Amino acid sequence: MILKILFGAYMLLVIAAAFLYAPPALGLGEISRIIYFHVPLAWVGVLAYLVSMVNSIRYLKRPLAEYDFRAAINAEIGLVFTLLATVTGAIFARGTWGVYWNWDPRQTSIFVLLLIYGAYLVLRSSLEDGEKRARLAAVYSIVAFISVPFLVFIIPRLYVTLHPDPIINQSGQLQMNARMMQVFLASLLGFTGIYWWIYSLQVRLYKVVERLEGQK
Amino acid sequence: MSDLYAVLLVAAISWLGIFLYLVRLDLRLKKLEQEK
Repeated sequence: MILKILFGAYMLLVIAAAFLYAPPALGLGEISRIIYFHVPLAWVGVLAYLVSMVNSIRYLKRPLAEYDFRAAINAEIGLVFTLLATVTGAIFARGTWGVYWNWDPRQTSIFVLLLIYGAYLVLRSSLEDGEKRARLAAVYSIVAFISVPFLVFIIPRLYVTLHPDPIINQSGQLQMNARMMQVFLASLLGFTGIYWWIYSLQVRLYKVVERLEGQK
Repeated sequence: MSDLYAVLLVAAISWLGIFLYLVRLDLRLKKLEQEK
């Protein structure tokens, strides 16, 4: 529990640093501070989709219900974080472009990503619990993840976009003030910690439910 | 209070809410895990 309390304090420090320690980005103003939340949220989304795909592969290799659960819960977590990244992105867009939504290539690609993983959950809920559903969902999750690098990293770079340069730009260089980079990396670590905490809680809950059902 | 501090306060309070919720879940789960 001490570790968790320390983590809570760490995140409070990260939030304070994002507003008080890091300078606003040149040309973007105070609204640019949202990147310390927007980018880590998007990163956790991609990470959760990756873990979902890995567990889907594990399920196809060895059909254990736990792998299916891990794949499904990661798709859910990924969807929530992607949704939050979309909302924070729209707020960022309002502050810099003047509108919340204008179907910019980045906005369009994240919207397609939401649809793809939304469809994954619809697919799961439309089938009866069982091996067939798990197998179908596993194949869908693997195919869905193939689209992630295209939607997140490739397609937005192929078109003219209003979205600011990603942290690692096209020339492969890191372009950030040192203080901004420190807060950014601390925030990435913190959000990854939140993801891990939620994920482990879900897995623990799954195991408790399995044990209780086994006792019946 | 400036807008910056107001947003900082909202972000910090939101995190505290999420944090306490997760801690509560964690403790309840621990209790369930220890039950035989």
